[in-house]
Amino acid sequence: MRRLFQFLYKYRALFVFLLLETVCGWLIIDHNSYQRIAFLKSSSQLVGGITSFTDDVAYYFQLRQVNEQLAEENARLRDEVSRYQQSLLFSVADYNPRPERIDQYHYLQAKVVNNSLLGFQNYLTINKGSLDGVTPGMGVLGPRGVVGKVRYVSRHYSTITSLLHSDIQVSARLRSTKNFGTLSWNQESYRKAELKFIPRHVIVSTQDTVETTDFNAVFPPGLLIGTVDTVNTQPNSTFHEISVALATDFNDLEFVYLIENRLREEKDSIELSTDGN
Amino acid sequence: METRNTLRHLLASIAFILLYVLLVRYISLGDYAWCMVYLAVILLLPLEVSVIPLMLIGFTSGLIADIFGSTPGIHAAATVLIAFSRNFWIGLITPQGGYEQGSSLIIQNLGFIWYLTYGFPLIFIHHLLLFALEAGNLSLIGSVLLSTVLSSFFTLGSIILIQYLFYKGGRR
Repeated sequence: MRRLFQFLYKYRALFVFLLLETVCGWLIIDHNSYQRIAFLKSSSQLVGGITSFTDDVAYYFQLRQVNEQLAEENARLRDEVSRYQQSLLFSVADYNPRPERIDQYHYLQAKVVNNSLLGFQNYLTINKGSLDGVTPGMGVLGPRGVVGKVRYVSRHYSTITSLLHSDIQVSARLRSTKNFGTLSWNQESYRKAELKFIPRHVIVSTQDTVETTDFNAVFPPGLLIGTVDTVNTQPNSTFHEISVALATDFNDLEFVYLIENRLREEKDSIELSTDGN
Repeated sequence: METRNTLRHLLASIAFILLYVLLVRYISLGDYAWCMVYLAVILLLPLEVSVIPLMLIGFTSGLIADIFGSTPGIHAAATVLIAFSRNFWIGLITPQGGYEQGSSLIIQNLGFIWYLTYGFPLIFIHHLLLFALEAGNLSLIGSVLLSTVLSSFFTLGSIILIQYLFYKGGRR
């Protein structure tokens, strides 16, 4: 027994080392339960508070850029409104959509208080939480285009898995041909993503717009994701390899919009019951 | 005197962590080089600090970096590793005449060449483990190595700069 203690004492540094690394290893491997520990989340109160503070300082120096982004967005929205008004003039006279349909998407504004680009798995933290009506799974849109999905929610803060996260896949289509595929991040640059499963018979032009489709319950259709940057087609593959330049600049993201889809539960439940049978 | 030194090191450590968390972690050079300036906490602690307290300090500072970066324990894992190997490595690269008792591990006392030999391998290992764990995927080995090399220079450079700006030679 004595010798056992002597042994343990002699190699105590090694044991402490192994113990600490085991704790870290557990945190890394069991990533989801780590995220559940409220204390460690960057959306928790203290960390959220501190990052809000630093962000306030940084925000002051970015006002100019933010103004530009918002002005750009205003212009685009004006454009869309006028197009919408125009299309109403020519719409089918007796088609009268239900008010729930018109009111399907609801937007909520939030400010980014923490943003990581360092990683191969990136998160954002925003200053709206469950008290403001944020729920996990809501879509997130930036002034220029799609940003990501809400992952975890605390009372005052939420974390978002951005497009720059390997868990995120967005159903996306080419605006001109309406062919759809799956957009995911290739983990190389925060400016690029990959659009997969566009069959090779489709002619893809660079600079074509990539937008969201109707097939997901998270984003309304037609939201800007990015533009086609390069198209690379291997001679013996069925699909194009399309690199997409993301519209959102994750480096200077300040404001985002959370999208609440009020018909989402209904869509999910009818699809679930269809799958079940 | 001893208490004053401890207090000074404690304040310096807090300052390094705050510097990283509040400012430096937002800065990157060309998307690949990042500055993990909080490693100064481990690198600048005196020689007399033994390995177990060193690892606990490393674990704490790494975990703080993890919490702010929303990463799962990877900063902590990498920092504990270099805290564990630091004193061993210092023993291997003892200059002629040995270390002066009670002197700080800073450039002014030990020279530029010694400091590079001391700092670069530790920082490199830390960054390699950090970026590899973060990538979690062998296919990204190219970006991981690039990030590791560039960030190592960035981190080492900033830690050296801090010493020239804020530290004086001699006993502390």
